[in-house]
Amino acid sequence: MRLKPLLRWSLRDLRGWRSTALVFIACLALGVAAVVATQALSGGVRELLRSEAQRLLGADLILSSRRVVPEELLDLARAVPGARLSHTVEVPTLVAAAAPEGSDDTGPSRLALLMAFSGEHPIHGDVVTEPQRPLVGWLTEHDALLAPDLLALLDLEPGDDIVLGGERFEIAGAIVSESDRNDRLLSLGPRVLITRAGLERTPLLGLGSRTFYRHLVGLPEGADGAALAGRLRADMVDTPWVNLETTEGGQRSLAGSLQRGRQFLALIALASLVLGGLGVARATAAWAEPRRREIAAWKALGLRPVEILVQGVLQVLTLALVASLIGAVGGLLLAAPLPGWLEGMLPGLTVSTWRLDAVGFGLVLGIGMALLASLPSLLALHRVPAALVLRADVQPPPLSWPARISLLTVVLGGTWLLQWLQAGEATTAVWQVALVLVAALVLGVAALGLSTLIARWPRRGLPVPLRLAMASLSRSSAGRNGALVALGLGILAVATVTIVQEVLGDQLRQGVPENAPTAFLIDVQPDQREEVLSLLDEHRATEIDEVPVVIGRLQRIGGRSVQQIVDALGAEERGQRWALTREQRLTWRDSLQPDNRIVAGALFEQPEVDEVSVEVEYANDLGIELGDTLVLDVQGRRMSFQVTSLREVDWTSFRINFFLMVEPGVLERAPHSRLIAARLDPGPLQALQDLLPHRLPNVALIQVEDVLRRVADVLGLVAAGVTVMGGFTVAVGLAVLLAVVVAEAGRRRREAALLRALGATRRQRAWATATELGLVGFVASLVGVGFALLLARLVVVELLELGWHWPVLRCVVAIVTATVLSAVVGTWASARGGERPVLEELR
Amino acid sequence: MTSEDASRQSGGDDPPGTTSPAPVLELSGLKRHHPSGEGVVAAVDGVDLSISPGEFLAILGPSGSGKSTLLGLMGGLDRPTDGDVRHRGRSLVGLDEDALARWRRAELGFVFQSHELLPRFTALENVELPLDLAGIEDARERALRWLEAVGLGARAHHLPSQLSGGEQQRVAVARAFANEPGLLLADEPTGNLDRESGGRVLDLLDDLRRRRETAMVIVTHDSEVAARADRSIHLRDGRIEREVVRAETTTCA
Repeated sequence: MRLKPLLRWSLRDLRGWRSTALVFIACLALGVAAVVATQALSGGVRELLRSEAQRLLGADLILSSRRVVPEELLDLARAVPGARLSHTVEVPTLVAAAAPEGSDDTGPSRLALLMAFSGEHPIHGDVVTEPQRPLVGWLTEHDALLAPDLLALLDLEPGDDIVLGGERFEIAGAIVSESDRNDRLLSLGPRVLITRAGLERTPLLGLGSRTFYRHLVGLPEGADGAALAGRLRADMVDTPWVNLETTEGGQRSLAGSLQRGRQFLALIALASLVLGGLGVARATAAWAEPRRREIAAWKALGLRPVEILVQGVLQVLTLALVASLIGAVGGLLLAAPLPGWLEGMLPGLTVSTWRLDAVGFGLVLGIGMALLASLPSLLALHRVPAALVLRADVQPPPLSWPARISLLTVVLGGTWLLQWLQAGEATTAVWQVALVLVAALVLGVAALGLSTLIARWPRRGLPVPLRLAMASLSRSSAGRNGALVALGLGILAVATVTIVQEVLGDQLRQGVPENAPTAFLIDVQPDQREEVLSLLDEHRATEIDEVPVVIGRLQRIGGRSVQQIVDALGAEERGQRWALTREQRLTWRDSLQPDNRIVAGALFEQPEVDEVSVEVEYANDLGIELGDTLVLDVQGRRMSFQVTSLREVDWTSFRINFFLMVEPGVLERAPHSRLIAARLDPGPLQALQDLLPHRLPNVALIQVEDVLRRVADVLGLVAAGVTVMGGFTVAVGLAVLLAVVVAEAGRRRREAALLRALGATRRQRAWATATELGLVGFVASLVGVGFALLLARLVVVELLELGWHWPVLRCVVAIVTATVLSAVVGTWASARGGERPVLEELR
Repeated sequence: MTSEDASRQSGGDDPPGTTSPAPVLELSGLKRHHPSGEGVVAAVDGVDLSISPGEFLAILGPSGSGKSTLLGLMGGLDRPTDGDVRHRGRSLVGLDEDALARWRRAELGFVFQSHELLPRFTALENVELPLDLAGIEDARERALRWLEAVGLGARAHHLPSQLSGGEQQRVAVARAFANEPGLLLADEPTGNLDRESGGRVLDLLDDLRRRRETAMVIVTHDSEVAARADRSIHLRDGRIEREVVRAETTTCA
């Protein structure tokens, strides 16, 4: 075969695509843009994690714990020549604007995350301040730096005083960013930074406080960090409550979260790409169908079937290349503002989304999808019998079942391969492709159902345009069915995300029961209990509930040590590992709360053993069974409890609940603090909060409303990102509808000419087209939204175990919008190019 | 042109006054049956035929008599149910699609009732394409010479839609002869043209095939076309019903 002339003639023959080329390019470019945007963002973040691992961790390795880390461990780090150490303590606390000296007034207050540092901080990366100065040597024990949002909330500025833990500090400046802080979005509050000496002035390091110690280690160039980590791990056997973070581990952890995000976006990008593929398939079919006779003539003149195929492939490749390039540029432009959304996770660092590898990725996926999508049409041309040029009734022999199955296997296998490339995991790609396939099948069945139903529907007496539309719809057309599937998939993607967002948002806004607490007071010491209760009484609090809190750590479950269980866990079970090794909060109560229900065993009925009641989901996660013995290290003392009951908890009550509830009389002598929940009106609640930093400086108050608002913000941010990507899917769906209308333009023009000859007015014909395509949009959105409701309900009720309501208005709006858009886009595309004289059209 | 026709039944002897050179194409016991409804239709049902170099053969018959099917079998566009098609002694029946395409590219010219030009390509490009794909170095120059030969040198850069029906068919003739085939098959080449244009296309075909010693088989309904042929066969129900040989035949220009 001579490839050069084939290529030359294929390029010249591109003129034959005409408007179908535009549809081909539009559909594929939109799909590729979604892929490139996803890849550019995830690639940029991965690259940043690689290059900025030290900055993101703030050190080469970190030892952290909620307890004081033994000096022996720190000495191992100090023993490395040239090693630098920095120590920080974090504690959530209320910060209040200080009233003028000598005044009894209290200023406004907020919950903040206080960090005190000593030594060189940070080891790697930077803390950007305003004014910008090195922390060491600048801040004294009387100074504090505050996050700008906290300054704004408290209406303070540098030079003003604040009260922290009952002590006054002067605001030396603002903290603009901290490169190692990537939990800002979900942290308990904005940052306050003071020196360790400053913290020592306060009582905030008291017993039971939610203190978190971090020791940052910086190693000199060339030092063996892995060896030090190994030595530390070996010495940490007796102190399992100390965490060791390394740059690799930190990178893995963040990369793991981002990988899950990437996979989710990849699913939406897959939907866009598959829809783009459907558009390409329709455009290629529209191009191929009228060429059958032409191809037969060329075969008769000596063009070999393989040359016909190669010519088609070369043309598809050329168009796919152009479309993918356009899509890649569009994807990069789309991705450019996305890093702004990650600001909370990666402060002070810039993710570059201008990535050549994402472009290359888009080209590979775009071209791959175009080839897969156009394969059936190209093979059909390849099989056109040459004798067709002599006799119009000659048809190729029907495709054998093995050939059909092979073709299906190639298309599905190819799609899976492309998705594997995109999602990064083979099994994820399998279920993602399967999900899209099932949705497409349901939509395909709906399309056929529409034709069947309308074919049987009596048309007598209906308006002419409706009858015309019904007549057209009663003929099942592969193109129109494809458009319905494409549009439905697009709507499905967007509707699922927005419905989940709406239901969760509503849950957060309205899901709080009438009598639920509005505030939680944490770290209340036993000797402060009376004062807190009296303050609550003064502020007209109701629904007061209080429980003791004891901190412990699991050592053994049912005869196996936690270490053995953790060692047996796979790499994928990181969440479970954390749940097993983290500090556990225990309480004791003598009876069940109304929002608790025993599902197995009985509550505290065995006098001979110390009993514990475990929340059932928690028990499932950790592999705890009824009758197991749990051994806990409670403040250095080893205690055993037998699991005698499993409880189901209604977490939506927003009341105080614990995974582990011990029978009374066992832990009372253990060091503990108290957690108090209460319901207060907004005014008294703020007044109480403003009073606490002065009266009970170690007690922190968490406002439920604040937490809910923060969760809703994060949810909104995620939903916004997903909706933008999902919007692409709808756009591709509409482009596919356009493709179908363009593909059927010839038939529509001839039918329109016939109707004109029979006296149908322009208005009647336009209404008929609008009704037909509007009905396509209606059914697509009906099925898409229906499917989305199922998926969303699955996510909200089954996965998140939250309440559900039917978002009727949103569904109606989605269906009406899709119906109108389909009618408008379709009618516009049909009317393109004007009308030729009737006789000329029918000749 | 004077002629004295003689009629005989199919399978007769060589025409009088001619020698018997090795045939370009030989059909023996050729059948093409295909299923239709509940039965089988015998589109071609046992045809024996031999075509000599330079010979002009016309195939006539009513609609559905098997003319186009027979032409398709001659050109390797269709496969026989039974029998053999031999080109210069080589059987075409066992060849695969690729080999048949190569054979057509090298040995065969086709002219169709509808010109079947690529609408997006100019007249010159339409003639150039098969030459280029066959690997001929000076494809463009040769294509231009052929267009000049059919009187369309000045219209070389026009699209088919900018040409009249007769001109379009002349481009198709140039394309068919461009590879200088030994055998040319034409399916009602004047069927879509008015009498004057059709006559001009026929003159052109006749002239070129005489000068190139190309054997030419034309399927036609037109008795005037048949009258110009050296021999004509009449098909009915897939069989040769009658064969007419012009008495004074000139096989060479």
